[in-house]
Amino acid sequence: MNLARVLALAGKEAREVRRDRLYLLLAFALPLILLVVFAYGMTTDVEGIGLVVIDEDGTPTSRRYAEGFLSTRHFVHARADAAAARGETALIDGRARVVLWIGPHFERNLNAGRPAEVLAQIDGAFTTSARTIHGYLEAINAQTNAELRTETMAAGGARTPSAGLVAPVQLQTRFLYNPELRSVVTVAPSLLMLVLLLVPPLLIAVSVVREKESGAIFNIASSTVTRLEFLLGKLIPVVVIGVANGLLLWVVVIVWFSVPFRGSVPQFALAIVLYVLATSGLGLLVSAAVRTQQAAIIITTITAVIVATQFAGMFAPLETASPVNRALARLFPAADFLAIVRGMYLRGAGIDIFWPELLALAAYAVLVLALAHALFHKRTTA
Amino acid sequence: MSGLSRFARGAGRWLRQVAALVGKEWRQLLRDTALVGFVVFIFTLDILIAAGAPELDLRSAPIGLIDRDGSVASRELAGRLRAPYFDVRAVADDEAQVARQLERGQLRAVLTIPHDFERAFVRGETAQVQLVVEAADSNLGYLVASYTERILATLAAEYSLARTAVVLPEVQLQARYRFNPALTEAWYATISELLTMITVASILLPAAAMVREKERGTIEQLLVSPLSPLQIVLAKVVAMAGVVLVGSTVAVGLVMHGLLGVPFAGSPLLFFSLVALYAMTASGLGVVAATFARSSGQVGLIVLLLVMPITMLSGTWNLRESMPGWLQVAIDLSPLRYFVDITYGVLLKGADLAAVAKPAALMVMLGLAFLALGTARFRRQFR
Repeated sequence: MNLARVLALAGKEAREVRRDRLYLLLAFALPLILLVVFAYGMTTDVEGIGLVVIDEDGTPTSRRYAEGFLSTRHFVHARADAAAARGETALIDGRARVVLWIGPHFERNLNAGRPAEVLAQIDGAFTTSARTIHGYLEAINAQTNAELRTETMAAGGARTPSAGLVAPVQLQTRFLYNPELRSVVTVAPSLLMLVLLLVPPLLIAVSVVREKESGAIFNIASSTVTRLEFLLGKLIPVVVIGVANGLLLWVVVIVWFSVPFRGSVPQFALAIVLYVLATSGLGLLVSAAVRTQQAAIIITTITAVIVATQFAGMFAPLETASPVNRALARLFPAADFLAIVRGMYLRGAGIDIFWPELLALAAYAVLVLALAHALFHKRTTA
Repeated sequence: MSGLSRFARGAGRWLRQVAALVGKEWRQLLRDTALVGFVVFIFTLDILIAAGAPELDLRSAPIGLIDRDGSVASRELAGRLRAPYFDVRAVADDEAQVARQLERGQLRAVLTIPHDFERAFVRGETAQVQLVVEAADSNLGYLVASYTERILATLAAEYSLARTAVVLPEVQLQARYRFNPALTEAWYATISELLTMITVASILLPAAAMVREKERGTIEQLLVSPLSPLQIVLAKVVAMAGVVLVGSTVAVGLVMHGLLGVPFAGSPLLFFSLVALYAMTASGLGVVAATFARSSGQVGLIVLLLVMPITMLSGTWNLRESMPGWLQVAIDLSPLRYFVDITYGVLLKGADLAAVAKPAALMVMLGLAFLALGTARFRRQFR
């Protein structure tokens, strides 16, 4: 390998990138835009959920019970028309996600000390939201019950009941690393995983396949430049752009989204470099397999989407996935990097704990780059 | 009469020309083996993989237990936190060591039962229990806390009932999940995946095909031929929508309904007509994106800028109504936002035309706007 030739090739790539203003702008603006839009949009906070109340009791008590849900920021009142199937239609056309049915004799039952039944129908089509919404309904219901108990006891007698009877067990919960349970604290750093999985592979795959498609690769084929030198020439500028993107996003997450960084700066920077090398290697692998830029764009994009949503553990913990999916997840570097992001960035753990993941990323990068080198041919059949 | 027949003849020729172009698009696509393989993959194997996707729920979440009381009552409490949600294990009562295990991610939470737990009961006082949750993942943190809370509330209600003479009022909230009673993750996950794949394919295929013609200069050949820009644009849109329609038929009919047992509650005719309309709408957006790019690299980045927010924020992976207001307004321009309601409505909820008329109409209006914009920009660039 001749270092001068590698640098010449990398320099040529850098000049090409610099000349294409729109491309350069997009390569840096895109990660930022994605980060900001996703950090605000991929919220898991439960707010403004449409709720239809069917109150067949129509008493002050039942109205107060319903108000207990609607007065929180979690639920808003959804209007429903026509008597019979009104809850049903609102759930079907998506105006509401919950229909709360309060039966007749609600007030009378409570006053008589009998349990009063309320039925909540939750739209189960979106399983994740359904579970969370159920959790909030239960929590609000429990709070109403506690208030009811206290009032009854206060009103009910000469003897003031001891606190232990109203609430025998009390749970004090403290959330570490994210005391207010802000969803952005979880989402924003995780987006480093997503964005660095999207952008570097796309940039490198397109830049290699462009030469194949335009035939410029024949210049390389007829020259003394080796495959390794050619690939390194492509790799270096993309890795530089990717790492620069990673550092930029890191700063934005800290400054703009005020998510405190608790780990060691050089260690996390090392993780970013290894991850960008690994994802760029994936891009090279794609470029070895395809002939057209159309295919390169589509395959890198869709792979990134699939890996980020299914094989990284971003939306849901990987241990709940099927064994096949867990095995497939090992084929991509995203899960390891996400574990590092959550561990190093948010929990402040160090290399002493996360060295296996870092080592896995490094091994992954070496392996995938070696594989791309083995599969790549200067002479294409195109 | 002759005027009408001339018009009919003209329209026939116009359509034949579009059809010829559509055929050309298909032949071009079929020649790209890597791309064909990938299109087959996203509508078959990928949907199958999605069926095994992880779900956002607790499964054997490791919870550390520090039982300083060691009484019958405290053991009773610990016994309530059970499988499948929790995996409770006793840990040493050592703050540094526990902190380290939380940091490593070996424990999701630590529950501490203080030493006077049982005595508080006996005296009729409130017994305190502490839960420290590792909330780097806020969703799981919330689930751990709310499940524990629910379990303790049940326990507390039992204690109250056993001790009080007075009957205390209680509202019993019964929750039922409609349309997916057992919350089968595979139904939700495969539909979401299909929607994502339809969207990505519909936007990317025509955008990349369009830019290729620009890059290679073959677009000039098309323009000197007796074809209008509208015909060229329409051919790309129709060709790729056709591919997506065939793909979705296989994905929904064979893989999802046939193999995985995902329900198909509504009318197939209604659903697949709307799939075709959606694919054309999204393809129109792809054409608009392509008019802004000169090279494949550029179009790749522009399309990412569109595709990623559309697929992630239209309501499959997030709660649309919980997003900030400005983002909700922006996402109203995403055709997928309407198609999400349509798909879950027709497939799972058995919605009829009347129930999906509004989102369908808005989606078609968006599609027409994209097509008009794409054609107008295309015409301006090449005239």
